[in-house]
Amino acid sequence: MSLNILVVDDNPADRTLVRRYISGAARDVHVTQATTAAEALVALKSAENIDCVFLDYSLPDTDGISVLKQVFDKDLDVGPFPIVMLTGYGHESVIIDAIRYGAQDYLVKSNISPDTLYIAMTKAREVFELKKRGNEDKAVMVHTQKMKAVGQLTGGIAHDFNNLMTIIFGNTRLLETFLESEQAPKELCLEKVRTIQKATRRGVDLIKRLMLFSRHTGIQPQIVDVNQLIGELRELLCRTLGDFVEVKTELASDVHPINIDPGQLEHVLINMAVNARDAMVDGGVLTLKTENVSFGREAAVEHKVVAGDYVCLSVSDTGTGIPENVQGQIFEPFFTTKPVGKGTGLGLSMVFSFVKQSGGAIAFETRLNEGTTFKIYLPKAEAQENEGAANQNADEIALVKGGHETVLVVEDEEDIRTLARIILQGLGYTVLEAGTGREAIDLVLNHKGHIDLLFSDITMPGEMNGVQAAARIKDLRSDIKLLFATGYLADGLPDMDLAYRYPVIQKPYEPDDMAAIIRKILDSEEQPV
Amino acid sequence: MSCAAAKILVVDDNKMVRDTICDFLNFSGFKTISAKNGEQALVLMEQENPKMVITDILMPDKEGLSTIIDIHRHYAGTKIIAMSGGGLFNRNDILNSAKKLGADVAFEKPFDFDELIVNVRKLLELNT
Repeated sequence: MSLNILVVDDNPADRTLVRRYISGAARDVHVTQATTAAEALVALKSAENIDCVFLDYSLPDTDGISVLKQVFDKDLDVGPFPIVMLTGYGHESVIIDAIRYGAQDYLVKSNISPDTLYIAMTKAREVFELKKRGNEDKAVMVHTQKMKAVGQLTGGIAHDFNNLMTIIFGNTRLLETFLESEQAPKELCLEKVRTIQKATRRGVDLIKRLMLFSRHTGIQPQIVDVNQLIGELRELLCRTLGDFVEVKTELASDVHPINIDPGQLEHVLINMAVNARDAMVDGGVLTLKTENVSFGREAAVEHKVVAGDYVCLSVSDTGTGIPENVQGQIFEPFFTTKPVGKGTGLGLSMVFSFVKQSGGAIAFETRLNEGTTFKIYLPKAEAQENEGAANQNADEIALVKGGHETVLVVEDEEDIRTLARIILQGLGYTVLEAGTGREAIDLVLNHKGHIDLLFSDITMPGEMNGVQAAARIKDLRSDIKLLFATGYLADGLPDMDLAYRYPVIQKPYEPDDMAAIIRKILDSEEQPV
Repeated sequence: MSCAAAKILVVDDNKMVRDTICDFLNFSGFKTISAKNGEQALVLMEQENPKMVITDILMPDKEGLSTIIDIHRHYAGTKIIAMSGGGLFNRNDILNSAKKLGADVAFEKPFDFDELIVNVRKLLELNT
């Protein structure tokens, strides 16, 4: 399958980012680039087929809305094409105009990641195709259904969240009153503190649910034992697939650990298992198998991956098999053999995208009326990553130790920064503070003493994010160790590759977890350069 | 009327919210009883005869608006405070409906607890 993409943006860094992120979306991605509206229109007029246009709003010769108007003007014979409008932070108001004048979807640039680009492109193509078929009602329905689902979920979460805020508000006020009085009952105070903590944790869970739904969690690779993941998933699969499908597992005992987002891998396996069930109309056997494989040079070229060790994860069914005439299309978005309303045709294309983004490969063998086996190859995790994961177990984190090293805390939210300082000072560390990346660099330049650890937020306003500031600080002090913190969606930021080479703690973090991770990093001999 | 004489019924399906409001009212000198839905609330209205009801709106097993209608109809003189954290419906619409149906005061969650106490005292005609 191939995809022809046009990226229209005068900013070379943004063009590169979009090109790089979208190149993993399909087997063959051709990206054409244009820096002005005029170039874009020439490219669109001469193109035989463009699958999706990523169009920046701010262009040197005109704005993206003018381009949209021309693309969708029937008299001009330019388009139409599926278009995703890109806007900078603070230009969200153009979104309404963009949709009004024909764009199928939009992305705010600060939210760009491989996932968001892929989803926006997929949605744009889906809505575009539906409209093209004269089914405008269907297009509206897709959007309406999604908005309804989002509305129901956010409505429910808003309700629960306001309850939690009521609990926190009430208990902090009570606590304040207790502590203001001379005879503050200690037990009662502690009880209130625990209630506040409990409500806060529930709030954290709620946000996770919301972010999972809106797919803004970003990919969070971690060391995963595939056998364990399959073991945990087995029960869910049995329930999902029904009584007529027997679920078998054949798991190699020495299977390599892999570095992957476990949530996405689960999603992939569920997707493939449901496909397998649909292929077994009279019931059958679904087998999940793991084994280690090693790709030499030839095998690596064949699978379009680098040579090395991989885990092969097979999903086999005893179903109808895939007819020869459609075998070349199964990874294409929107390709489905299922009846209307039964399948979106997005499942296997998402699986393909996930596998490619993970540096792996996918292949299949199929025989008509005998069944199909999909093989997903995922690269073995590096040794030090594995050790890192083993050290992360909860028991170890529970033992919080302090130290006398110097930690530079970089965080734009003053309250969070102050909290980190108080906790770390309480544990004996010397703490330096900065509110922006620039401040942190200036502080490092002027500070005479040794700084052992840079603990920096990733998403910060200003000229550089936490990762970019850390890169410069690392240039100035090569021996400094790094720990990043992030709330969400770090994937879309520039230079995130660097962050993934160092430990990242997810916000909101528990003070004990933060202290434990800092101690572990400081005690560790190795920190990647 | 003194605080000690005033019994307040707190109705919310979320136990932590219920307990927090009761704790606050108790600390401010009021007696409280609580229910997790409208059905339980009406049983307690009959048994305990509270002077005031503070009720959530969106609850399973008899939601707040119909509870307010019943209390307003069968227990005239009982003061009613409605509260809602919104959700699937517009919070203001719900709270306005609550007032039209008989609530004396309506609060959006999360609310200021000091303001709640001021309103409770005012409605029960207590000296602040």
